[in-house]
Order: sequence, then structure tokens, then C-alpha cells
Amino acid sequence: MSAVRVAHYLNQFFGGVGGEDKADTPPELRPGAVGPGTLLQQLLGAAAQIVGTVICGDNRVAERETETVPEIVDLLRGLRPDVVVAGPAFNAGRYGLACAAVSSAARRDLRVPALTAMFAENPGREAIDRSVLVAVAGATAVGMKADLERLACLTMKTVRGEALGPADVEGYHPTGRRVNEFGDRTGAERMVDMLVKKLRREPYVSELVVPAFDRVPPAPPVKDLRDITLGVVTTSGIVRAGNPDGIESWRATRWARYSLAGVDRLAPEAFTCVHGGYDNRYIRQDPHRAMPLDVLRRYLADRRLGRLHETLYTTVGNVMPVERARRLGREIAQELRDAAVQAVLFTAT
Amino acid sequence: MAFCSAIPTIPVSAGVPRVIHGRAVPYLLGDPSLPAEREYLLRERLTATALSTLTADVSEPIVFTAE
Repeated sequence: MSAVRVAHYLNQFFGGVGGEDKADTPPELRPGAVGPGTLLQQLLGAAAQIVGTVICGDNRVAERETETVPEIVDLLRGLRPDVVVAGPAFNAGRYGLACAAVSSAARRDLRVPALTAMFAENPGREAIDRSVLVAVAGATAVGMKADLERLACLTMKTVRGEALGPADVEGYHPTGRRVNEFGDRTGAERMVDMLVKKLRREPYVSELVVPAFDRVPPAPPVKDLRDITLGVVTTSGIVRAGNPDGIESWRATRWARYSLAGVDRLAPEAFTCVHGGYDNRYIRQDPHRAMPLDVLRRYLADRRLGRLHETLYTTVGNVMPVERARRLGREIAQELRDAAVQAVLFTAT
Repeated sequence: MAFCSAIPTIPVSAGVPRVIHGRAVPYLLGDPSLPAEREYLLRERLTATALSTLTADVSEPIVFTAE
């Protein structure tokens, strides 16, 4: 059997073109393995050959994705690959997004398996097609060798069509795919066993992963509402008429900020609601039903409330993955912090 | 943060400290079956309750309801 043909994707930095100053580099093809690909080739062994490497600047992909990704895919196609490997991207955000776009497009357009590797919190993980296997990688290139070993092993297993074990054993990020397997003990026995361990305060591993919520210590109370700046945040899906920011009606990927300066009330002509998880007609009729700006304005006029941070932060909290909610929350919280907001009125539907 | 929700068990299970029980999911701070003036008064009561929680000292999730 001839060696498996591997096409590799790297950014301008790992491709040896240059740093930030070369981040606009257009896609280019190099024969064989380049940079980390050299070590990847060693780890893959004789059964696979990196036949070529496509290199592109991160900014080029980020700023001109719709034209650049097809160019990259065309170069990859010319290599007639059996598998496409991108990265590792570690925790580099733009590189991670580029690896996600390239591997997803390769999977879709070339119909070959695609893999990449990145750190758990890399934003590229959210953007990736679910059929692309994402190997676990460290936050930086310090653990390059171990990361490439994992990636090489998963690449070979994937092209050979070998069944993968659980994510934490094999070293990939969970795909959400569930695989049936036979166990020698029934669910009832395993459950009681876990319960006994829990009661004895012994370690055990749940078979059902419940999303972990951060336990945030309550903020200390404010002394007097007349001394504070209040921020307003909502996940009810109130948006400016026409939804100019394109907030999705479910699994939203973004939030928007709208200035409230000079806005006395949330008029239905100026604001609407795009939440897709409930009958939103009552909010569209009167957005105050989800954000009481009318009441707050009266409080301000009566000097019962100090100041309003004149910005509405909004998104759609419908079927949003916890990880994404955490990111959006962190971004909004940073803005509120920068604006010296002391307390927030948050409305969730 | 004062967190208004129509289903307080959700924010409470996520550990949100100051939760205000809103009217209903599709009209959290209102009620389309009420005349406009009474609906505004309902919203004002709910908002007043929400703002008052900001001055409350809490150590764990508590659900506040407008009387």
C-alpha cells in the first residue's frame, strides 16, 4: 500500500514566512513538510507522507476569508490528499479560526478527513465543523512534541478508519458524538457504586457530563441607588430594528451594544426582538416588557437612581452553549467594568 | 447584578445570587392582558424589586418576588 498523502496547513509564522509583519501573506504552496511539519512527518512514520504544505497569513484569512479559504482549498486539492491536517494552533485566536475554516472547508469540499489541534479555549473550536477532529494542544508551542505526537496518532487512526476511544483517553476535544459500548455492569450497579463513592467522599467520574457553572461570589450590596451607575444587559433578544448586527435567533455567536443616549423609550419602531426560543410578539409590541427603560428613565428623573450607563448590551440567550455564554459574558463584563458601572439590571427570558 | 427571570430555578441552579421572579417568559416585565397604565405599574413594581435587591446583602442565590 502506498503511503497516505497528508496535506498540511500552517500560518505565516509556523510556515517560516515571518511574524505579524507578514500576516497578510497570500496562500502559497511548498513541497513536502515545513516547520512543525518536519517533526509531524517523523512521528507519522513511513506509512504517511506530507506531500505539501499550504501557508497563509492569519490576517489574510481573517480579513478576506470568503476568497482566501477557497484559494487555500484549491492548493490543497492539487496535492490530492488522503487527509488534511491544520496547525496545531495552540491558543492563537486568528490561527485557530484559520485552521477551523481551512479544515472545515477541506472536509466539506475535498471530502477527505481533516484534523487540527488547538488549546481548549481557542475560539477556533467554536467555528469548526463537527466532522473535523480537533486534537488537544497546549496553550503555547512549548509542548509541541507531545501535541504533534497526539495529532500524528489521531491522524493515522482516522485515515485507517480505526475506532477512536473516549476523548479524554485519545486526547481530542469532545465531539458530542456518542458511541454505544457493552459494559459488564448495569447502569443501576454503576450508579449505586458512584453514589456510594460520593457518600464516602471518594473520587468518582460521572458518565454524564453536566456543564460546569462558575460559582461567582455575590457582589457586595450597593449602599445607595442614588450614588451608582447602573448598566443594563439582556439575553431577551431585543435588537435595533432590522437587526443590523445579525444576532442569531438561536445559538447566538455575538452580542451588540446600542447607545441609549437620547433614547427615552424603547419604541417598537426602533427596536424589535429576534429571540427564537419563545413567542416574541409581546416584546416586539413593547420592548419594555423585556427591558424596563421606561421605568428606569422615571427613576432617573425622580433622582431615585444615580446614573444609567447609556448603553444596552444585548444578545439572544437561546440554546447557547455554556462556553460561549461565558465568553460573551466576559466581553460584556469587561465593557461594564471599563465604564465604571457598579451594578447591573439583567433581564433573561 | 439583579437578574430578572420568569423561571428562577434556572438562574438559581446556575448560582446567580440576586434573582427576581418576572411575570412570564414572553413578557418578563409586563402583561399584555392588562390595560397600559396597570401594566406600567406592574413593571414599575417588578423593576423596583429588582433594583432593591442590589442593596440587599446576599450570600447565596435568593429569589425575590414583587408583592
